[in-house]
Amino acid sequence: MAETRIVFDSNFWFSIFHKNRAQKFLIVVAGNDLSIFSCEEQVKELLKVFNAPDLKGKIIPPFESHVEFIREVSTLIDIDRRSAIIKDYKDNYVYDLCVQSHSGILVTNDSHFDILKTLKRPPILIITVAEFWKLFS
Amino acid sequence: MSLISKDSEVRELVTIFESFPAPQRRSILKEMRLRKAMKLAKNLDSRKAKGKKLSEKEIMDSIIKIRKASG
Repeated sequence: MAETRIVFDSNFWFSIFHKNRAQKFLIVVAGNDLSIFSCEEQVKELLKVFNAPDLKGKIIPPFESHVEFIREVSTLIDIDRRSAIIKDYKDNYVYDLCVQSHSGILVTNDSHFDILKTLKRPPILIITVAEFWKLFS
Repeated sequence: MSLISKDSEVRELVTIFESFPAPQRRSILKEMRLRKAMKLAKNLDSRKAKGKKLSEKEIMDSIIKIRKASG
């Protein structure tokens, strides 16, 4: 089976914990032999979201286990440069993560990433969260 | 004494592990990470009342099912 390299945006990670889908996610990842990539920037962003006062109670602490889970299922890489393609500047690390991990798929519902559909190189397929579950479940 | 014994056991295991060819080593590590992630996932999903805790067999059966379906 050919290796499929995937990056998920932070909303996706949040939703799998919020909707109790960690086991389902693991089954899909292992079943399809998916290679997941993440980075420290994403882990930091997620920790900020988990601790946000308006999202209190959505994710049950301690959050170390969530981070540990991400570290076990994905390969964390160092992002050594920052692009400025995405309108929301702080999201550019996600694009850099895709490029530097040679990932061909980005899973996101965020329309800010639609601009990547216009880029010919590197080819990154943008799919929604629903499409991800449909495609790989 | 027990520490020395454990230490030599670890060394022995490392030697055995290193004697495997690289692809086999990678798949052993992958399997170990999968087992650890499985335990974490169970714990995370069962933190909320509605969360369902699957058994290790249920998870492995589902993984095998997807693998077979995707060829």
